[in-house]
Amino acid sequence: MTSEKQNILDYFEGRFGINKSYFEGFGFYLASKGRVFLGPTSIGNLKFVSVGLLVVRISRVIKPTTNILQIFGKYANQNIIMLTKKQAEDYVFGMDLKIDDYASVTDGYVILKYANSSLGCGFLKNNVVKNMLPKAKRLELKFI
Amino acid sequence: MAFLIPEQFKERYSRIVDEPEKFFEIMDEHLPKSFRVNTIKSSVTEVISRFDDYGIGTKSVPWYSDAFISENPDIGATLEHFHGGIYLQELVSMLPPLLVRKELQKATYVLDACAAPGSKTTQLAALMENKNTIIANDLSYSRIRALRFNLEKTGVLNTAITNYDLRHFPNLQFDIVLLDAPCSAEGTVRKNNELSKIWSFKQINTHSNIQKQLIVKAFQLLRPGGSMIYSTCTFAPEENECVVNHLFDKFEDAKLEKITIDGLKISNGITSWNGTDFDPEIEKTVRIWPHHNNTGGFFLAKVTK
Ligand SMILES: C[S@@+](CC[C@H](N)C(=O)[O-])C[C@H]1O[C@@H](n2cnc3c(N)ncnc32)[C@H](O)[C@@H]1O
Repeated sequence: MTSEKQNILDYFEGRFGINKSYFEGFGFYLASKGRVFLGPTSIGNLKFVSVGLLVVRISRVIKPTTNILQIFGKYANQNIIMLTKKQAEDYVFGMDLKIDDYASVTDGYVILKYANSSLGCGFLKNNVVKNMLPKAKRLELKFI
Repeated sequence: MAFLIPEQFKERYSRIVDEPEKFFEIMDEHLPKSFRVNTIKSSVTEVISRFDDYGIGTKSVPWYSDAFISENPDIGATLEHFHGGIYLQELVSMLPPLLVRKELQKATYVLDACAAPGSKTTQLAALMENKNTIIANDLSYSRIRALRFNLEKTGVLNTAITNYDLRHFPNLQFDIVLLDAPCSAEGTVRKNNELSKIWSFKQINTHSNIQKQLIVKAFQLLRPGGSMIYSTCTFAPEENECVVNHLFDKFEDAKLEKITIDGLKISNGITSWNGTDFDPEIEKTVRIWPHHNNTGGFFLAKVTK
């Protein structure tokens, strides 16, 4: 786990500028299918259903989850897209977003923000942000 | 259709409630909707200023600054609800974590023994600032799915989930144990005609037997010097005072701490029921009657070791 942990910390710092120190005090837990959970460090000797929250899936690349970016997004300083109200509504509803001219952002996973909140994660390619929000979390908002 | 309160229910509680008519009357009124600001994801100032902008009215709660009442039916369709900045939760359900608020600052290992769907787990995590460790346990795997969903939504990282029958939980020692026991849930029924359907005396006794086993086990999992909260959302003394009294009968080192909550009207536990006298200490337990604060019904005991 130590080398994966290092890779994950490097990834969040490299891609989003999230300082490694924000992960201090938490433990990384490797589960099946390349899933990594971030949770408490001393958990005791028990049979667990799950520990903490899913933070990344590792396949050929590292895929961050909505969970982790909603929590640690506030510490990020790069690869962030600020959404308009309409875009935020569409994103929460589950739609992909067309983004024009985002000079400061490079293709790959991005943090989507609206009004001080990190809403989650998207995948930017060719000026389109692919919606990564799990279906169960999608919602038609009335107040935003 | 009129709300039907079973005669036996009326007879039982007329004996212990201060104003029976007011009590039965409010059981026929709907329960105000409430939410808690999830301080892991947001803050009271942020949520309330945004709700003001939306035109969603909120009323603060005198005994808990993170809690608010709102009658707006669309609160579930706000950005704050999507993002987990708020958590919809009945007011009295917020009491157990609050009673150990101070102890939580120093606790490193906390057990939420019957945790699903996680209203109290998510609140404990917020009060612990997402640090140290909570073990959230529940017997029901299907309810654990809801627990996982809620932990994700509220951004809780300091919690691990287990799926034991508490009675067979491995013998570990916790600084704080929350036992929000399965119960007949009389206190959650207001204005939905359910009471007459679900209520039966047999139910109360079945629950009481299990609760006695659960409270004994929960106490064994508490380290000396630790604090345990026993709570139910029901009025029945069989599921409340009798259960705590059972613990007192079995363990000399069980003590009760006096409970006060500034701004909330509470009633002391009763010390005898149906001819059985309880340990006089049982008076330190607390019952919340719906007509006193316009909430659901609840029962709380703070046990120390
Ligand atoms: C009142 S509910 C808990 C509500 C929860 N604390 C909350 O605030 O969201 C009681 C829970 O106890 C669980 N339960 C019942 N018997 C149990 C047992 N023997 N061991 C562990 N959990 C049990 C039920 O599955 C149920 O989820």
